[in-house]
Amino acid sequence: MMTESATHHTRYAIRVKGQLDAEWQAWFDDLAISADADGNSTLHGVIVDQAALFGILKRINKLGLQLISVNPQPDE
Amino acid sequence: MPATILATKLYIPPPTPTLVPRTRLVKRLEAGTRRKLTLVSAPAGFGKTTLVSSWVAETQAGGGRRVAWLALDAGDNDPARFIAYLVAALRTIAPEVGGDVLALLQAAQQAAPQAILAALLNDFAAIPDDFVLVLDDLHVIDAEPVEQALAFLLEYLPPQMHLVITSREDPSLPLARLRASGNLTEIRATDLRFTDDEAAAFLNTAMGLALTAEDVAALDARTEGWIAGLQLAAISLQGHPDDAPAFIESFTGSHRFVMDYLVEEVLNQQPEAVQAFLLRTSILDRLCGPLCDAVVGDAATPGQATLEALERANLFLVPLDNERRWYRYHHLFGDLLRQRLRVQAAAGSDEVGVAALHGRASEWYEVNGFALDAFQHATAANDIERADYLLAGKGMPLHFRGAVAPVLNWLASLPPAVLDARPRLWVMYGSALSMAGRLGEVEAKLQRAEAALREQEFDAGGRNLIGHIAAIRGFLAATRHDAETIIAQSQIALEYLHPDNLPVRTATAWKLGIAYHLRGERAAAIGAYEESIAAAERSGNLVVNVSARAGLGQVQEMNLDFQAAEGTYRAILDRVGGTFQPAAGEAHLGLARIRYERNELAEARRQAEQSLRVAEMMQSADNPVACRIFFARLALAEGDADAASAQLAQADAEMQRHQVLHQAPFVATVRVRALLAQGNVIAADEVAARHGLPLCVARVRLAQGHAPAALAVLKRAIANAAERQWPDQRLRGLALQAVAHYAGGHGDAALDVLAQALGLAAPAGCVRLFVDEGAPMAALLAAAERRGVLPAYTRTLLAACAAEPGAATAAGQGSSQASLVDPLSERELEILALITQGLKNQEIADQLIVSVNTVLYHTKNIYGKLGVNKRALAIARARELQLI
Repeated sequence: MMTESATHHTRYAIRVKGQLDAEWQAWFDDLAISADADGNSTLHGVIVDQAALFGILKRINKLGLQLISVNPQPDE
Repeated sequence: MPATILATKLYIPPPTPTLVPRTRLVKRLEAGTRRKLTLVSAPAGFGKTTLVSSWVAETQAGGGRRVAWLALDAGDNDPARFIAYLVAALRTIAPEVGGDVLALLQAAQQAAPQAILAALLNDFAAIPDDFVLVLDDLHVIDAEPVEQALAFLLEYLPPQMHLVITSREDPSLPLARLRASGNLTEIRATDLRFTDDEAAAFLNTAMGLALTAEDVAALDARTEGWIAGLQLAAISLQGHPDDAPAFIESFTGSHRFVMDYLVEEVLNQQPEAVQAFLLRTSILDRLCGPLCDAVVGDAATPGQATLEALERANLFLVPLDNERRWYRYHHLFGDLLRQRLRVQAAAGSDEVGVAALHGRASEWYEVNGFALDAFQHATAANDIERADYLLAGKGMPLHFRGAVAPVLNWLASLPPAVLDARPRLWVMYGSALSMAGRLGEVEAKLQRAEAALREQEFDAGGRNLIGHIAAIRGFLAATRHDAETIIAQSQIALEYLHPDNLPVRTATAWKLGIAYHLRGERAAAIGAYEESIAAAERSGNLVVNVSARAGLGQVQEMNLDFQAAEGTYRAILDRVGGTFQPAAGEAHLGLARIRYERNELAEARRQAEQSLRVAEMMQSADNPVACRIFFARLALAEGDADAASAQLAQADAEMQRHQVLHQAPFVATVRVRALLAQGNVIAADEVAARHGLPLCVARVRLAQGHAPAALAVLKRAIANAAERQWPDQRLRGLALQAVAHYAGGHGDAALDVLAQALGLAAPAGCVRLFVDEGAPMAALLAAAERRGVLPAYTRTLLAACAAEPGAATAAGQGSSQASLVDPLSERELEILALITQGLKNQEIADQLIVSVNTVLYHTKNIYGKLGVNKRALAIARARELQLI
C-alpha cells in the first residue's frame, strides 16, 4: 500500500547541524527552533504535506545549513 | 536578456477534452482572486496546471478578467530573462506595459534590480482592470535574485492584480505572513486528489472504462486519488479491460514505483516504433514535427502525425500553441521517459545513444536558426568540439548575443584539462565573466589561456586569441581608468587580432579612445573614437557605437566645438534615445552642458534631469556623479550656493559608493566655487590645494586678495593649456586672468586679455563661462563694449550679466578693492556729483548749460563704467568708490 506520509504525520522534527539563533526564525515561518544539548538545532512544527516539506528542505539547503535528519512525530 | 521570446512559454494550455469538471476547486480559485496570491502546491501529477488552465478557460469564456500566463523553466533562473518573460507575459493582455523595463534590460550594463522592479510595478498598476498572472511550475526557480524579485512584486502587488502560482514545493515566499493576513488561498495535494466520485467520472465517463464501483474505489485507494496514477492506470486498463480487478491488485508501493510500473504498461501497449519515438524525443524540452523527424529518424513515425496521434491518445502531450506546431511532454511523463531512455541506453538496447540524439537535435536547431538550443543540445551530447564551435558563433560569440548564463554554466562544468586542450574556451570564459560583471575572476582565466596556448603550436587562431586576451585586459583596465594599461593592451590586441575579428577590434578601438581621452590627448582620442564608430557601424555593434560617440562628444565639447558635439549627442539619441543605455544619459548630460554654456538654463535642467533618470536606473558608476556635479553648477548659476553644496555632497557619496575617484577633480572644481560663494575662503583654499587645480588655486588667491599670486599661477596654466591644445582650459585661464588683472588694478591689461578671450570664445558662443565670473567680469565686459571689442557678442554677454540674480548687489560687492577699469571723465564726475545731490536730469542740464540729451548720454556712460543700471545704485557705488 503506498502512502503519502504527510497525510498521517503532520508534525515533524527536522534536525540541522549547529546552533541557530533567533535571527533564523524569519526563514522558517511557523516552525519553532530549539537548541539541542549536542550543539545542534531542531525545527519543530506542523508541516501540512509533501509540497510544504520540500519547500522547507529546499530552504534549508539554500541557506547552507547541514541537514541531519527529518523525522515525523507522533500526534500529541 | 534573451535574444528571442518563445511564445510557447506564454501560451495558456487549453483544457483537456477528457477533463473531469472540478467545480469545487474552480470555485476556490475564483474566490481566491479577492486575495493577493493563490498557491497551488502539490507534487507532480496532481493536475495543478490542468486545474488552473480549466479555471482560466471558464473565466475567459465568461468574459471575465484577463489572464497572463508564464510557464517557467530552468532558464528563468537568470533574473534578466525572468523579467523579460514577465513583461512578455503581461504584454499578452496589456501591450503597452514594460517599455522602460525592456529598455533597462537591453542596456549594456546591469540595471539596478529595484529600479527595474519599481518600473514594472508602475506599469502593472496602470493596467485598468482586474487581471491575473499565472506563474506555472515555480519549483524550477531556485536562484535567489529571482525569488527576491518575486517576493518584492508580491509585497507591492497592485490591488487589481492577482497572482496564481503552481509549484511542486512551497516557494520561498513569506507564506505564513500572507496566510495570517488573509492574503493567501491554498490548494494543496489533499484538495487536488480525486474523490471517489471524481475518480468514477474520470475512469468511466472520460476514459470510457466500465469499472464497477468497487474497482473504482480500489483504484482510487491504490493511487490515493493521485491523478497521474489514475490516468496511467486508465490508459493501461484500456489495453486489457477484461481483467481490471487483477490489474488493480497488481500494483503497489510508492508513487514512483506505481509510475514506473504504469509507464512500462502504457509503453508496452504501444507499437515498437511509437515506443522508440516517445523515448527518443524525451530529450527535447519542446517538440515539433520536423524536429522529431530529425531526432527519431524513422519513417514509420512521421513527426507531425505521430505527435497528433499521441495527443489524441492522451499520452501526456501538452500543446504549446494553437497551430498544433509545438508540444511538450507532461513534465512527470517526460522525466520517466528520459529515465527509461537512460536505462535502455545503458543496456544498449537502442542502437542510437542518448548523446547522438542530442547531436541530432543540436544540428536541427542550428540549421533552423536556434543558436542557443543548438548549443545546449551540443553540451548535453557532451560534444565539446561542436559546443565550442557553436559558442564561437562565426565571430559573434553566443554570450555577445545575450546568452551569458548558459555559456558560463557550461564552461564551469568542464574539467580544466578540457579547457587546457582548447585555449579558446579559457578566453571565452574570461570574456563571458567580464560581460557578467565578475571582473575579479577574469584574469585567472586569461592566464590559464596563455599557459594552454604555450603548449600548442602557434597558428592564426592562436594569434587571434593572444589579441583577444589583450583586448579583455584592456577592458579591465578601462574599468579602472588605467590609461597606460589600456593603451599597451589595446596595441597588442590590434596587432594580434585577426583582421576579420570585427566585434573585438571595434571594442578595442573604443577602449583606446577612452585611454587617450583620460590622458588628455584629444586629437588621438578623436581619431580612435571615430575609428571605433566606423567599425561599429559596419559590425552593427550598437553599444560600442553609442558609447564611443559619447566619448567623442565630450572631447568635441572640451575643444569648444559645440556644434559638432551637439551633432554627436543627437546621433546617440537617434540610436538609443528613450532607452536606458548609459550613452543616452551621457548624451543628455552633454546637451545639458552645451545649453548651460549658452545660458539656456531651463532647457539645460530638463536635459540633465533626463540624464539623471537614466543614471539612476542603471548601476552605472560615472553618470550619477557627473549629473550631481552639473546640478551643483546650475544651483550656483541660480545663486543658491547651499543647494550646490548639497548636490556636491551627493556627488561625493556616489563617488565613494562606486569608487570612481577619477571624478574627484571635477567635484572639487565646483566645490571651490561653491565654498567661495559661501564666503568660506579657508575651506576653498584647502580643497584647491589638495587637488592641485591651478584655476581653482588662482580663484582662491583672488578671493584672498592676492592678485599677483593668482596671475603667477594662471600664467603657467595658460601656457600649459596652449601647449597641450586644450582650448577650453586656455579660455577659462584667460577669463580668470582678465579678472585678476582687473583686481590688481591693471585695467588695460585686463581688457587686452579679455579681448583675447572673447576672440577665442565668440565662435563657440560661450556665455556662462564669462557670466559665472560675476561682477568684475560684468564691469570688464562693459568696458570692452565701450571700446568696441566684438560689439554684438559683448552686448549679448552684458545682457546675460544684467539678468543674473543679484547682479546689481553683486556689482556693488567685492569692488571696494578694485579700481574702475575706465575712470570717469571730469565731466562725468561733475554730473555724478549733481546726481548724488538728487537733481533731476533737466535740472542738471540747466545747471551745466547743456541739453538734456547730453546729460542722458553722460549718464549712460557713467552707469556703464560703474556697472549699474539705476540712479540709486550709481549713487551707492560712487560713495563706495569714494568718487564723491
